[in-house]
Amino acid sequence: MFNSVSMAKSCEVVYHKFPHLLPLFDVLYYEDTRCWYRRPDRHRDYLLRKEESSQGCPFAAFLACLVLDDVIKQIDMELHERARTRKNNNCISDDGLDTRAVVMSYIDDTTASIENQDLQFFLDRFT
Amino acid sequence: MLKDVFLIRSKALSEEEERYPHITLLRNLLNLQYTGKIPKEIRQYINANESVSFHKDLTNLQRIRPIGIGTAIRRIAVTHAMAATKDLTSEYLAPKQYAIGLSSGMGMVTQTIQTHTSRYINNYPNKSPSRAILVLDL
Repeated sequence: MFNSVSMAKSCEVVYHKFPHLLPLFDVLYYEDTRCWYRRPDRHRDYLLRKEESSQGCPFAAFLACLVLDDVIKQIDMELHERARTRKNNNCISDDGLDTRAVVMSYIDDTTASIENQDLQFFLDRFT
Repeated sequence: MLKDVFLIRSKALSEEEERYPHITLLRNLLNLQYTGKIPKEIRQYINANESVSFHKDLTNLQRIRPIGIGTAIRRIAVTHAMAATKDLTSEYLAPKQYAIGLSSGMGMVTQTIQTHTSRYINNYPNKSPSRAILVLDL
């Protein structure tokens, strides 16, 4: 996933939340980067990468986390709101905590424990 | 050109810098990256990638997975920057992201999901599970 994260969105989050990393982000991602390869005739040539991060660059995983975190926190807030509504309507809770959803991520591997009634909502919002 | 840029000296070198000139060069290079002062002419050498492609399917050689591997100096700079800001990033990404700033983040995710599985899914012999566990491969 972190190869296809929007650099514009990443830049926005870095600018607002981690301004001290902006110069480094600027050096690495502001311009199109050259991706070198060897042609069948053994000569080297390059392609310009416009909207992708590099495999193996630790910054790429961090940028993916930032963008995904924004999405997940927003959905999580909405799930909590739904759980609160259920509690106010006296629905039966399986955990004593409003049947609250749990969403956890490890970089781009996201795992969620979702109450049955929230399942369709979660998938719709995520996609 | 790289050597010319990083050998620019505004003051006399200390004894330690004289003894370890390559460390001084590396430090200068990293500082230029952290302050965004890398000259435009040489940025292409810092942020370049080496492309490697793997076949995804032995029966269909048209299907390949292209991978761009960043330069070593890029990895060194970013790794150091991330280590220095670990606390700040983990605080911002908490409590949903367990990969950054936690030594056993994957263990926490696994154990939480195991607990939910046993409590809300496997522990319902006579009725339907109240939850579903979703594992998303993004």
